[in-house]
Amino acid sequence: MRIIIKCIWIIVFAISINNAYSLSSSEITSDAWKALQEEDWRATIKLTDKCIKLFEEEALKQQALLNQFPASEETSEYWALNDVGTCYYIQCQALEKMGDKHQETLEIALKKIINELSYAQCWDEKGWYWQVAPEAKKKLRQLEFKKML
Amino acid sequence: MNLAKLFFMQLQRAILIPLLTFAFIAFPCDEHDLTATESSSRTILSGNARDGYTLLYNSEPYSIKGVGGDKHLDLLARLGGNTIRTWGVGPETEKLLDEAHQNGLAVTLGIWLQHERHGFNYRNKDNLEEQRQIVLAAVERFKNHPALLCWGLGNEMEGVTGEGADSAIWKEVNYLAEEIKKLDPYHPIISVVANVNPAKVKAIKRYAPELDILGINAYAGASGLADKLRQYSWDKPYVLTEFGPPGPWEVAHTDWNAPIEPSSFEKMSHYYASHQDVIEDEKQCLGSFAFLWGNKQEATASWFGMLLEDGCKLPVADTMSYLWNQKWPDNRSPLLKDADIPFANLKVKATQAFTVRATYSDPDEDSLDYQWSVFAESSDRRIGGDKEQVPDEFKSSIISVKSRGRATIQMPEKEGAYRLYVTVRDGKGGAAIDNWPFYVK
Repeated sequence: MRIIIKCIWIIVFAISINNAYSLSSSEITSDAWKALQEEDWRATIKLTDKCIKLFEEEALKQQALLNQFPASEETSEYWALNDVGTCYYIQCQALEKMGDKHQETLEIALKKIINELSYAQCWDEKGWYWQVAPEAKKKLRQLEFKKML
Repeated sequence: MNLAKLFFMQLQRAILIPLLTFAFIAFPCDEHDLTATESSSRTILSGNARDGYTLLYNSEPYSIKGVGGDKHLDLLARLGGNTIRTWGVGPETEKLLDEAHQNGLAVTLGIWLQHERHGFNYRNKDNLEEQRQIVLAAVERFKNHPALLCWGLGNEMEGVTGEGADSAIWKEVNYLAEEIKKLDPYHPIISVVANVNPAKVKAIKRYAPELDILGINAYAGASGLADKLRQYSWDKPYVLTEFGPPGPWEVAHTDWNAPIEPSSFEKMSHYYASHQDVIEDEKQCLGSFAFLWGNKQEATASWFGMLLEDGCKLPVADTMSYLWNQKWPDNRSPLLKDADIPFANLKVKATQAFTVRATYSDPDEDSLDYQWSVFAESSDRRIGGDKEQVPDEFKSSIISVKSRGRATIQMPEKEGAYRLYVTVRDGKGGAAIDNWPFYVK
């Protein structure tokens, strides 16, 4: 009986940690969006870095579980993947605004999304998820084009 | 040689040859009638989902390097485009097809299908019957024209909002496709939709199996289109039938709800990225049509146009030419380098004056002419590309135009939303246009 109670406690503890992390990552992501909208590039970088540092390991684990985009009703279960992928994308937008000297970092971040977080999706306030990797791919192509000019 | 033969030869020389010569000069042949019997085009769609699809136009493999629009076709041909796309037939269609043919261009001839937001009802038999007659008459009339590549059966008739999965619409499209094929088995049928989603693709697959090719209009949504279609199990070929910068419905807005248009420089990279994204899908994608070969008022005067009203080409036209030919055209359009518009996206006081500056470079080092103008913000905003009124111009706001892209602009007296435009021309057919919204409080 003791073992069962212990197991239940461990499960409850694990779920609560997961929820806490989930809440935090989504909160940081929201704050990062806000900083980006306010054109505070340094704050955007700081917040996105924080989210990436805390949750990237979990995000990569979640990505490894997928070989296609999850069904829409399951999307939110991949909270770390979605928030970290989104944070990389937000960071890319800030880096782009910060000028040409950040181009290399920007390209690395875009490639990270495309190659390692390809199933990340971002929640849109309009009421749906959009896929982050195609947007990153587009941004990378745009950079490629601008180099040609 | 007998006498009869000699007599006939003399008759031929004296009468028949002059008579026939006169007849040729006085009554020239109708070119269309001639081509109808001798050189009607044939387009074959070959292949399958596993190995890939190929469009064969008059027996030659054909990749669509297209634009949507029907003006300045000579310029399009010079820049390396090979196809135009239209939206409907009308009194000018035959002339347009002839002009396209003369310029070596093929045509995806649009046949307009009515939209329910304009009052049409796909469950009303009278509505459907009337439309069927118009559609099939158009097919009968133009099916033998040598410039015809494909039929464009409808454009976004499933609606631009919602899922676009109404079975009544797709069943009717299927019926029309079947009937068109009875009249003309030699030209594939494209139906054009506003972007894709799983429900829409599922409905098309289920209710409209007679469609040969899916046409997709997608702007910001063009990124990842090939992947999306695979995810939705679309296994027939497709064409990106409209693409360009993100639409006014897809960008950030000012506090007073004016969409912020991407710069002429940014737009180039959007055309490039969207085109490259689909064209890499060699198995299913048959090509693309950039939007719009021409000029129209849609949110602003310059959002989607690839040309100015006078036919000058904009940088996005150069971009498409680069993509089609892997080299830039001989004369390049000016490129926006930098702009200093102190009131861009801001609320300002009435009658206040500002100095503005926009810096453009010309890759050919042509000297540039700058034209500044202020217009009211559009108050006639529509959806789905419906026709919009051009807003009023405020000429008195342009106080002075100085050298090197500088000008003094005075804010209008009346409270309201406005836009400052600058149009830059190189004097050799190249131009650029940009705008910045502002609000007078």
